[in-house]
Amino acid sequence: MKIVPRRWRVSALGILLLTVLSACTVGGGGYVGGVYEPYGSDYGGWGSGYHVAPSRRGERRVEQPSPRAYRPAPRSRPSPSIPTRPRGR
Amino acid sequence: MKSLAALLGVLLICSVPAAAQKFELPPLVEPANAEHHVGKVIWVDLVTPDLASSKRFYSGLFGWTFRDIHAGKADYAVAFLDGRPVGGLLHGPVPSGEQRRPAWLPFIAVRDVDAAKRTALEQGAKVVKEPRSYLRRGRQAVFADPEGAVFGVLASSSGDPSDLLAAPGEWIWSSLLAQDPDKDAAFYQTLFGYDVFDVPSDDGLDHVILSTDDYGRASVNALPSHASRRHPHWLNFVRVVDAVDVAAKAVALGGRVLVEPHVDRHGGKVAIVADPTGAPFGLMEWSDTDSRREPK
Repeated sequence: MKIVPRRWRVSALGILLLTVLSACTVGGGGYVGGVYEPYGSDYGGWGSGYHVAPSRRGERRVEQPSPRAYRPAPRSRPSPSIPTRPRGR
Repeated sequence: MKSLAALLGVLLICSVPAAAQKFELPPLVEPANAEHHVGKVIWVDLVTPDLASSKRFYSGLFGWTFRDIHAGKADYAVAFLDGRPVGGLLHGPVPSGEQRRPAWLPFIAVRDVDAAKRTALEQGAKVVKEPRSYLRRGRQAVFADPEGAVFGVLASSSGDPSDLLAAPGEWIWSSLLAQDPDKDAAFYQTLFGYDVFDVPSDDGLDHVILSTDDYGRASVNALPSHASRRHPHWLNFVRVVDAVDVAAKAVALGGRVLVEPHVDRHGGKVAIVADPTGAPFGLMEWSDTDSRREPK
């Protein structure tokens, strides 16, 4: 009479432990996203010639006087634009 | 038998919070596709100290609707435009004792988040949030580049959004404002395999375009020298039909204009605004005529 309940107890205890462990790992409190940043630029220095937008296809390239840390795309390639195919076409 | 019943009772009680705490994000693409566009900004998250206020603002400005996800300590809302997920809003308090501001965080597509982490660390980045997997979303992590600008990487398990023109109200462009665009562009080139295009500027500062798949994905720009605070950061732009109208609407909804609408390189206007909690983002006009002129 004592053996069966003991087996059940051991099994139940095992499941209980697994459940508790699982509860600890699926919580959403640690979502990987959304970060407060240090105060950035005050944007006061954006003059009329300060451009951040993408190029239109075919924009000319500039000749850089000094070597770059990055590998520039070949001068023969114009600066690419953004995807322009509308949704559903 | 009594002790067994007690054990089962505890088991049941424990399993309820486990199920309730499931943080289930919607897939990025539904139905899933097999497209991968490494280097493309495929998701944007806002952290906000006032979720309700932020939702009211973006709903009023762009017509976004929201689906709330509560799990454990996380209150998160997925923003939708015409049924498509366009971003996430995460509620969280501003860290006490620190001068911090809410921000929109771009997530850039990668194939392998853990490989990206290794490369980023080798190139001088820091891990802000360790890689973590989400059931229908994929695996993501948050890093700070060598200059301290924060960005995320995401390996979407449902594929990446197709290369289509963003509709008004969707994110269309991202810009990195950096102390040294030359070195920072080299970092991102190593991490994402970008082609880097230097473009002409009227201000004498460095401006480059990062590209994959023969599409511009983002720009890297030298921080304006006259700005009093010059912390490198990413800035994301929503496509609008009329930047002047939308900037005025942002103010009416409790936001602020940080940079007045003005014509940019592509011929349309851009403006920088902040939402009521202070999170900055850009507005960018993009004419449909460009789509007809430039078949791809």
